[in-house]
Amino acid sequence: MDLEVDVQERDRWSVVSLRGEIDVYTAPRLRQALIDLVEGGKTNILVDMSKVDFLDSTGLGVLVGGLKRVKAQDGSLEIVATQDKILKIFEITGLSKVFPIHESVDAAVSA
Amino acid sequence: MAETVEIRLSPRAEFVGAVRQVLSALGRLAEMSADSVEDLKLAISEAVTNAVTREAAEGSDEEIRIVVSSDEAGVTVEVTDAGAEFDDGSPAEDEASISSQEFSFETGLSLPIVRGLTEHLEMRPAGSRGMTVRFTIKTDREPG
Repeated sequence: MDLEVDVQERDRWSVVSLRGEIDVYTAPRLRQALIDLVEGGKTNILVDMSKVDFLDSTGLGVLVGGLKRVKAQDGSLEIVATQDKILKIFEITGLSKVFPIHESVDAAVSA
Repeated sequence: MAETVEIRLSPRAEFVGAVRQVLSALGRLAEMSADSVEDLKLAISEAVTNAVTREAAEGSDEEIRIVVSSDEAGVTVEVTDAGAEFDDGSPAEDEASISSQEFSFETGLSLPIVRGLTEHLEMRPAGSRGMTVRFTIKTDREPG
């Protein structure tokens, strides 16, 4: 049970690529990555969840927190998600209407 | 044939993933569909996370009790914590959990997600303090 967080710059986006499981134990790692980006002036963040095996409400809470932080600086936080089990959680909670969700990083960057 | 598994664990965040893996195996043994096993994993994770965070908010180190039983109809999960006194069906809004804004929005979605995934979600007081969350996920057997 682990979560790998990798950040790379691409065009105007900071792409946060996640691999593993996001729950109450691992979500603080994602939260810290988002805080570090915003504090470093990076406020257009794309979170790539295409290699996330598990996501729960704790991870969603961190994303909502990140969204609040970037919105406060006129930035944006968007999601890449492809797996039904991940998309379903955004839909159940209504957050699919809050976060723009893309099918791939390429699609998001060229949008 | 009905099967039952009971787990007691200290309220630590690092145990939630292990519980999720172990108990979702019971769903596979019960021949649940792949989608139902994913729902079970998520619902168990949310209910145990709710219990862990409720105990953390109270500074409690009492064991969390998880009972999972499966039969032909589905898998029923019961999670009991020793957190704050149960309050009229709004456990995520207790004073302790809203003492920190960050903590609140990160935990407030747990039980709504369980409600969205399951049949027969019940929340009730557990003794003089704490609460029990109980829910059922149908087996939804795959054809063949």
